[in-house]
Amino acid sequence: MAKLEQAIDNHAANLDEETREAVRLASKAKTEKRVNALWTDFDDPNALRKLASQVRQHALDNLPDYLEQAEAAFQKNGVQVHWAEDGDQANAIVLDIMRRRGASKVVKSKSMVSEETELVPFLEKHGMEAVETDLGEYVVQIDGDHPSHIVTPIIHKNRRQVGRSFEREGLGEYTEDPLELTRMARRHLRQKYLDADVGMTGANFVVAESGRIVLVTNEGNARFSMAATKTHIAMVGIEKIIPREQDVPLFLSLLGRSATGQPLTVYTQFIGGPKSASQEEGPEEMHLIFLDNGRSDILASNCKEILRCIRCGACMNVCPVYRQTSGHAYRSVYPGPVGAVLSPLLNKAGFPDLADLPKASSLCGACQEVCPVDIPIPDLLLRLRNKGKQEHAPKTSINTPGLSFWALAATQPAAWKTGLKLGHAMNVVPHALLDVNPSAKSWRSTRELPPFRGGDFRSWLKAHEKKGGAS
Amino acid sequence: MIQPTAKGKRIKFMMTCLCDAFYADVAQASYEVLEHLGCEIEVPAGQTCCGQPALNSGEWESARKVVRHTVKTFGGEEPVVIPSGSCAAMTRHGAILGFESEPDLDEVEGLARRSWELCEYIVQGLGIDSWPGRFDGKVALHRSCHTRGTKVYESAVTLLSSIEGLELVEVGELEQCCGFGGTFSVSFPYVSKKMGQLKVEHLTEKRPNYVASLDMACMLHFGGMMDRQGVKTPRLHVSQILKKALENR
Amino acid sequence: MNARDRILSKVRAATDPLPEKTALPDLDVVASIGSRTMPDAGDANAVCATFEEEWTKVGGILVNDESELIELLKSLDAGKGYADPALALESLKGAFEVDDIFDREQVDTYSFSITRATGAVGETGTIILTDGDTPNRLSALAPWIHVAVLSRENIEATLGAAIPTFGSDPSVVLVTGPSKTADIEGILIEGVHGPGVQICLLV
Ligand code: SF4
Repeated sequence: MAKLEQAIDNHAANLDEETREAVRLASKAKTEKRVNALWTDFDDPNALRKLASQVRQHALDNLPDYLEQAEAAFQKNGVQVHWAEDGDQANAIVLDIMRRRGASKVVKSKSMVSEETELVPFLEKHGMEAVETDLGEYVVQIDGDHPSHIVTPIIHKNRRQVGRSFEREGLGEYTEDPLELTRMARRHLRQKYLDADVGMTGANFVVAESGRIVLVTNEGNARFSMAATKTHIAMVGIEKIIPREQDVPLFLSLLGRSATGQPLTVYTQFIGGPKSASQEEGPEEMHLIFLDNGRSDILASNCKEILRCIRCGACMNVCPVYRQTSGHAYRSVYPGPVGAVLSPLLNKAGFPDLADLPKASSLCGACQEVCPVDIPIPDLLLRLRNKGKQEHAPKTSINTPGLSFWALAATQPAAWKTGLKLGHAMNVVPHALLDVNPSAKSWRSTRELPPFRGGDFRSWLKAHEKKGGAS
Repeated sequence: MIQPTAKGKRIKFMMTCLCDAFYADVAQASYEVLEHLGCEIEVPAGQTCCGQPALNSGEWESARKVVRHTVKTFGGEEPVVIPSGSCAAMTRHGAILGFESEPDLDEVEGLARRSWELCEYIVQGLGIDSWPGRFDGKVALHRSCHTRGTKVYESAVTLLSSIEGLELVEVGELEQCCGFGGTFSVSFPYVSKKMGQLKVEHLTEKRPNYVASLDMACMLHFGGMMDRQGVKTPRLHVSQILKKALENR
Repeated sequence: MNARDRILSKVRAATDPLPEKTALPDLDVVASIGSRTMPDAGDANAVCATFEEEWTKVGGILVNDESELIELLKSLDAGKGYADPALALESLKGAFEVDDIFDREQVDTYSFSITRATGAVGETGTIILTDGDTPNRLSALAPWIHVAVLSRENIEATLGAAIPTFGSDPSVVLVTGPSKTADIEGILIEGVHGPGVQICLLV
């Protein structure tokens, strides 16, 4: 078998310096903003995180009841509710709605689930025009690229690259002024909204009690998608449930501050149904698609806590590995710590293909410390590493020395001490550190090892005790 | 993370495998600090390692064997004092994760409730909040990652900042990891190196006279990088500072 | 079984065996999470003062009467505008060309629009727009300058206090400052798809 490469580490090593620094500094800035926003505004943000975590876990533990409650509430509000077991079903539902409505053009606001189902390429294949309207997502779309962050999709691009893309697409003459670039997008997308038949969104929260979705954007694109079009389709993961409308302020407080350091995102919409009768503009029909796509399996697994995620991106902003690798290294829709757990579990191709993701962590725990719903990400990474070992996924063990021999020594004090005494360090102390190849080579490429002093403390102690202890 | 409750000065000392193999002087300093406090110390000879390397590698079967050995070796009621935030986190949290569906989970939790990191034991366990003696110099203290969710780091800050002559300097991006992560350092060598470089920059930015750590694992990594880069700032485990202060009374 | 039933039965199979389920925190606990900017709900003046302060902080502009608004619009070089006819802004109509029907075919010819705000939130500096009080969704969104006319009595202390006022409106939009993005190199730009200038006229 060909030697497996450590894809994420290689990706990082091959990243150009400019991109790496851009990603690291932007992530660092967002981390600082988050800390400022939370600690300036609250005495104990950690109490909020625990509370939010409890509400979300409660919703997940009782998900079937809440899903049924939500379905009934939406229907009462005149919303047509659909269910999709996987991405293909969800995409087919969208296509079907569009055909029935005689629609051919859709404007889309940013939604991670539709990235999961690869909705845009699917619709394009079926002759529909689908346009991403979030500025970052639009750039990603015209470049045939992928988002590298769940909140700031083009964190890996600079203004010059955006300028060249806009020039290429005929939005205007080349400029690298972010203000002018934003104006170009405004003009161009404005017409797209007005021409579109369907507005497609995700949802940040689904309120079971009231049958409303809650959607936040800073740009106003979701709002526009629901003002200019005649049909609104929202595709949401089944885990997005919040029980009560009065729970929403807690989550909005945490989401805005964790994601961008804002007390509240600029546009926060509570949408429950088609436009009211007196309203001149807006959707006559609203459809809600509940997407499973692996979530019910995760719910049954020992990683179910990851479903609490509210997609704020704080864990990737703080993650030292993400800061060095950027999002594409994770080869999936969800990068960073949340992605290292979620992506291998959602991966259509199967867990083994992304089994290296849970390894891309020093288990430092910074992610859990910032997570607004207190997801024990390091624990989940450990469980997935164990899963990888148990299922013999080769990518779980790339460049990782086996520890069974070490474990044998570590359970037999005699062998352990002999090893220490004889200086057979390589057989006793963690192979990870000393194994001749490739670990030691890898270690020594950038670091020195301290001198081996196996058993010295034990010898000192013996002499010390003979002397009668403290002098 | 289970918070320890076992109290008293009759203790068991877990030297940690890294000190057993590399850092005898750190184990010795910790021992002498505990002796100074009047502790009656037992050092179980059968001790090996807390089992963390295997747990972190996903080899939970192996990890459980080592944890069982550790639980047996450290049996009893006394506090177990450990000069490492990381090994303490393993006995208090990691081990429990690995035993969630095992019949002997209780025993593992028992050890968890007795496990203290050294500084935390002194400050939270014994209620001591100032340290005698003198230690001259500016110290940059690394906040090792596995002290999150505990009072270990703040206990160390309490002790160090009470020492006459010692000035703690600010360390930037305290929440960032040094890049060790056990086998991570060799299986993701590039990312680990970049993280280590940043950590060395932050630790030495304010030109301290010493760099200090609560964990020799972190120090093994960023210290090894400092040596390779020729950064000469001396490095000490917190216990070594406490001991030196005692010598200057 | 259809997709719905298969999904729900899988979800049930996942949650039914749970030995215990996480309790839902009490509403008063969840609702008690006010930030440091939360005003005293019983003090209407404080609520209004907080709104004014926070609204300005998030980049909103505040005016206190129609003539002040006219001056501001003039200084912004405003041309043709739209105003919700229910507002009856007579002196404004003397100063600018103001339509009382928003024509989507001419969406880019409106430099400003004036619509009613249903309410506001003091704590966060947020105005609330609803379907019921906005005859035309596009009108409050498309022009570069949007003016929301807000009655002081309708300002609530917190979002939690405002939620019961949403009623059964199908589209409640909370607006906290001008439309913005930081997608390009993290640089903050105001006025992406929505208004670049967001004004609140307090009455
Ligand atoms: S895992 Fe937590 S920190 Fe990461 S995106 Fe989700 S909610 Fe945010």
